[in-house]
Amino acid sequence: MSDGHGNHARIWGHPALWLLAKLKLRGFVRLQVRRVKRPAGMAFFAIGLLLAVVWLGSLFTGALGGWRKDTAPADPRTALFTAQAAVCVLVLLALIGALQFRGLFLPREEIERLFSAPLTRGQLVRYRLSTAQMRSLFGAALFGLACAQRVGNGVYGFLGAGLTLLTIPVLGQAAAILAGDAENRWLPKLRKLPLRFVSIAFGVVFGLFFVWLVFGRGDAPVVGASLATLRDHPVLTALLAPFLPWARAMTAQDFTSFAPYFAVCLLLFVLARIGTESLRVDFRELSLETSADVARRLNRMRKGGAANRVDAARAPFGWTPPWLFGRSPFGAIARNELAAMLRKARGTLFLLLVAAALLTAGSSLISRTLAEAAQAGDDVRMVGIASTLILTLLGTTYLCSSLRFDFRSRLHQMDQLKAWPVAGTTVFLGTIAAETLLVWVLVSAGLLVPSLWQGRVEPWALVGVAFQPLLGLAWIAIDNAVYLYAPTRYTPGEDSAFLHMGRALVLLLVRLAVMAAVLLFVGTPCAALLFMAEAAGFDSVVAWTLSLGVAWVALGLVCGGLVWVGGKAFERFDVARDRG
Amino acid sequence: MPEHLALRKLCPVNETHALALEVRAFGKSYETHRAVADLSFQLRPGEILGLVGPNGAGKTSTLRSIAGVLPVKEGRIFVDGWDISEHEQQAKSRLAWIPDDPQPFDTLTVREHLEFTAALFGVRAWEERAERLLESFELVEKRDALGGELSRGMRQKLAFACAWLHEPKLLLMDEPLSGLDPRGIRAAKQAIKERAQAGTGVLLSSHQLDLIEELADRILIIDRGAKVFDGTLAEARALVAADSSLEDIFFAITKDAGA
Repeated sequence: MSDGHGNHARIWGHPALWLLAKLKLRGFVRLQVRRVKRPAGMAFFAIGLLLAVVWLGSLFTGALGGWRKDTAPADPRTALFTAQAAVCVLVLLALIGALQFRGLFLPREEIERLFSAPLTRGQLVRYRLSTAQMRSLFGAALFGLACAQRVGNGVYGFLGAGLTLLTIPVLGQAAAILAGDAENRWLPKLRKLPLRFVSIAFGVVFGLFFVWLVFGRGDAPVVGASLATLRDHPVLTALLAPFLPWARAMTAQDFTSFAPYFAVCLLLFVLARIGTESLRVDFRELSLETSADVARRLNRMRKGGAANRVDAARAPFGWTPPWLFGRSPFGAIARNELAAMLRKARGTLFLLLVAAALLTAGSSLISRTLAEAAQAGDDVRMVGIASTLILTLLGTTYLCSSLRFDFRSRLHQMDQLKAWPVAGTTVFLGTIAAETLLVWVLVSAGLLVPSLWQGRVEPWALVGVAFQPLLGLAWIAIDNAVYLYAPTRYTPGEDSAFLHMGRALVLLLVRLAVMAAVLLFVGTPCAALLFMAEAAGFDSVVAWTLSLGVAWVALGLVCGGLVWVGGKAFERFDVARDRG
Repeated sequence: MPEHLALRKLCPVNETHALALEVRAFGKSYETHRAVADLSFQLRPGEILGLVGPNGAGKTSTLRSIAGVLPVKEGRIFVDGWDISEHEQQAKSRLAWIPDDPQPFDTLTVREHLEFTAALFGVRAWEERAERLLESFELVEKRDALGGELSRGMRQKLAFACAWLHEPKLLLMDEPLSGLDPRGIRAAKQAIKERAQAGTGVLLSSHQLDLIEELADRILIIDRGAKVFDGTLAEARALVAADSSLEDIFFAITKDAGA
């Protein structure tokens, strides 16, 4: 073997691993070129690239501004504190990730092959760290550019931030291996404890936030302490002290203050890498488990589901899915989705908490603003309608994008769905009915809870509750119909990011354009009727009720049309052409 | 000379070097259950040993432990005389492992898979050998196809070609014929026989009992992690009935073990 190979082996662990990295990079480029050669691929790639260029361009321009200025930031101590806090958060995130993915993660196609090959575990760790760092170079450059805009010297900010981002994965990997070793030695039966603990902690924080929103009606500020107060807090100062070298390197004003800290960071980086590669831990079993877990998540995402979707439990809370929509074929299809919701209740419950908290907060804000405006003698009807509509739409779109109890999680079963002896519109409506119902319940709860707590029901909240099922149905129908016409799944780490970014943007614009057309179609006659009724001297309440009633009927008709279109999209869906 | 190339020149450290594989009192436990208990058997060079057993019997755990994918915590495993726990690299450089669903690299071509395998096992002048393997496994036309574009059968053939490349002393195969078409099955059977004739010990796990009956010199039946039979087909017939098939033998033996 040549010296060149020897050098590569020192970096990658083994000449074969260096060859593998090289071949994979070549293969990645080759695949990109192949995909972009197709006309649609080229168009989507161009749009995605344009977006990326605009974003990167703005970052780079900002960074150039940072590099040119030699003046110190207004408050260097606050900048240092912020940098320390940022590094601390990134390290914590890496450590939480390490608890979740213990051992050494290797992709499915590598793990059996490399574990059964004549390679040492140190060589595998070195290879993994090198590939991970090659990938994070891009992220490190972006992070560096973003930091460069916000610190005294852009160049030092860029270098310091970049090195920080290259060091953190090494720490995360060391933690993953050591956590796995500790678990193997001392805690084999408490394997899932840290993850559960983190989930419970998250739940408690959200619960407290929700309680504060509902019951804490005072005018207390959300964040009591200012940044300056936090900065000078002795406990925080002590906690953030370990991250000082990286923060100093990032926020240095001149070379003499930058060089020693950067040298320390570089030394720590090298030591961390050597230390991690030298860990004498047999991580094979944990790695197999981790890799299988990641493969399951990716597979779920390729099938159209979300990565964090929980696996189905047999009977959470002892619930049996009810036949809410009757015992017809439509009812059976809807019950199928309802069963998925109930049996994946942990994930649904978490979303429910988030949505309820956000909706209640928004609803409380609207109530308070309207009450103040009414006291001031302003006409609050239009503001009330508009803000309730916006809140309803935001809640609906957020919940729909997160819940995915519809075609997006059924794409892998389309063979079966297509074979059902049921009309396309029935399958379409049945598949989205349960999600529509759940979104209605959640959004309505968010709209009504603050009103009920305050002892009076806002009419605008009632309008929101009445319109939500149709607005929700319209959005979910559009979302699913577009999805059936162009089913795409993108999983993290997959290639063709620009192409997917471009396609996702185009499809989002299509959805938004259709929804805007729906709202225009419903809103125009409603506004015209309201104007004419008020001009004809009708009572204000009657005029509003009449026009909203017409809008409701019009929206219902539009929903019928959208379900028909969705049914056609389902019938048109070609299973043979869908490659997942 | 790189370490991985030097490995083949070292001498085995155990008197069992005349065996392609020796498993002594091997056991494997998972969190909630015991997969394999006190399993011992041997495999001579050039011999084909058929490993059979019901689902969950511990076949794949045994194969993965021999391959070094899983750590050996109970018992000892020697590959061509090298203890897989103490001399992991030496042992692994002498074996090839074909899992039941081989996963190729999505972005690497068929030829690049062979190139990588050659580098991994330190095979010099691999190109000529790779071409021969591509021909014998009918992969010549797929030479430049990406791993992600291959059908299940083609993936299986590629795994065969990679496993054959470094001429291992021990070949471990889990359901090797699944996904292959009739022509592929015939070619694979022939290739396994030839590999054995060249001196490789083959440990073949399959639920296709007719395949085991046709290829295996000896049969190892395990049930619920324990060995229930180890011997030739003739010896098994002596236990059950003279004209019994492997299927009859399997049901008779596993039923007795379960009783």
